[in-house]
Amino acid sequence: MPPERSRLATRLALIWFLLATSTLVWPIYPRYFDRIEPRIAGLPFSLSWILIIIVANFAVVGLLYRLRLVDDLEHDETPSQEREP
Amino acid sequence: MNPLATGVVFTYLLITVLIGVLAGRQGKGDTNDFVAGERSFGPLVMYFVVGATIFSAYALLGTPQRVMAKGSDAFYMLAYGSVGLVPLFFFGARVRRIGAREGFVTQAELFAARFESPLVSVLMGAATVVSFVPYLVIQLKAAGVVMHAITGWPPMLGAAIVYAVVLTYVLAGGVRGVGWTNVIQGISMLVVVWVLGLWIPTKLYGSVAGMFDRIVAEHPEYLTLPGPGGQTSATRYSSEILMSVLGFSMWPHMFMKCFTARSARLVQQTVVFYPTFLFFLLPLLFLGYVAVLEGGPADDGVLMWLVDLLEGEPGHAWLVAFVAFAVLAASMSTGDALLHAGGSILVRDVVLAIESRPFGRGLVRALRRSRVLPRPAEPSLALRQDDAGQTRAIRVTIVALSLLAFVVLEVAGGTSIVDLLLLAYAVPLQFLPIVLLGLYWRRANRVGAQAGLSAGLATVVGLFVIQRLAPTLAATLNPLELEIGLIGLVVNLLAMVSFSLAGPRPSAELLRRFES
Repeated sequence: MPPERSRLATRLALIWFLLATSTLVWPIYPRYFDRIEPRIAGLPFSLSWILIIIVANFAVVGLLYRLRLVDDLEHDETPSQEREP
Repeated sequence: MNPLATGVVFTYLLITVLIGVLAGRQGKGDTNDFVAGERSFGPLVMYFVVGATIFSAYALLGTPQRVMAKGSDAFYMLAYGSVGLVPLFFFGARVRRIGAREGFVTQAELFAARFESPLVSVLMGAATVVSFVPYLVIQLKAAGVVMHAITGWPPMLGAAIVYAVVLTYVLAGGVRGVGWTNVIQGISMLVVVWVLGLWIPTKLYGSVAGMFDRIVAEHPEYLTLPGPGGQTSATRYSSEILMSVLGFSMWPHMFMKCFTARSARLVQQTVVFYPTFLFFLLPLLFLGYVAVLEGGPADDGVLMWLVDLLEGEPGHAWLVAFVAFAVLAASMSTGDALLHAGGSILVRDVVLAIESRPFGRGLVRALRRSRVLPRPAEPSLALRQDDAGQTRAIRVTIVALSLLAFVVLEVAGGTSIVDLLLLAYAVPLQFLPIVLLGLYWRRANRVGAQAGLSAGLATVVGLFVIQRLAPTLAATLNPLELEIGLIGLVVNLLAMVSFSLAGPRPSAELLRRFES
């Protein structure tokens, strides 16, 4: 993979994590998300929103991992030892 | 005494010792094996080592308690957990590779080499141990509370029995003992907490949603900031989250686990799956809301009190036994990592780093003369070259650390430990500039690292002492009540950047060793 692609992905990912985290703290969280309604599966929105961010971050990190977008020098876990130079 | 619970707990303790000791027999038993498990941990062990180490007895007993006391402020652990381990995804693979190439097994070793500074190693090592002790003390305390609840024995005796077991498998099994016991401890925590967190609300209110309906109707202030009694302002809550996000991946006992993974890619994979462990806080929050509705006690006994709400149900006795077991598992899976890392760090990062000085040399000589350390074949052999001596020194330090934690628990009791925890959480944050700039900024050099780290640690300790001794002065110096760790971090960063720019560029040859 060309290193530019990895660098771009790293930057985009960092921006994502920055934005996602900013919705969990002042001033965005108390303004928009720190309330009871709408309740999702009975949970208050102040809690559901945090869970939504956890799931979204999980998806982003998982994608970066699957596509080897960060730190692309690595070979795979388990039987691919022969791919070592 | 509760015979069933006592039986379950002792059976569990016995199994843990067996697994820990057997796991330790796999490796060669040298220092690399004892500290980093010969860098051979697979996905299962890595997953539970990271998850179970992070979730301490404090999370288990303290989360429902925090909901009762402060309402939705307790969500902050989920909030910082959502991103706290992500930095490790970016730098963990590289740390794993550098460690394997250069033979590093601790965090400070890597950065002492990057900055060519034994002082960095000594400062990091000493500060780490200072932050570990209060953290360890609360694990001992939780073990004592639970053992007292099921056996009726004095808490100190109960804690001593539990930590005798921990010492046995840590000393015999090293990090392998820690790893494999964390697998059982992690599984049991997850199962028990989910069963309890879904069962109790369902039994009392029909469902979790039904429970929240009642909270919305009767105590809506527990669901949003600033919480009951307006205790937690949004800025205060945010600064807690920020400090935890920045410091989370800097904790030395977590950082070190990068070195134990079988491959660099596996370090990343562990970060990917960590949120599945994080959801474990959710049932604990539910339990906190049950306690709010039912008027439970607002102390660390609330979890055991909640279990008794199911009295009369079939299986209640087993549930009590398994909750006790889960709290012990949480205490032990954090305590063992702290003891193991604390011992390894004190020897590898502090004693080895000062060995070239007369004081360090004298210390090693005295320990050898008193037969605490084995005498090497060649009397002048440095401890750095003496592998058997190092492993023994780590074991001795682990025992000494656990004794120290017991003394602190006995002397300080409960309240002042919580104060000490504030200092403990501020310390790993001071490693952030060294770690990130050390890995990603070529211009960062020795003078910068030494100046930044000393300034950061001095600020944190200074502010902490002022807060204790002169609260009014502290209020004038820090009117917004910011976390002392964050103030230290700013001073630290400024010092590190400006001194680095003023000092010489690191040589290209040095940088190449830390490049990829």
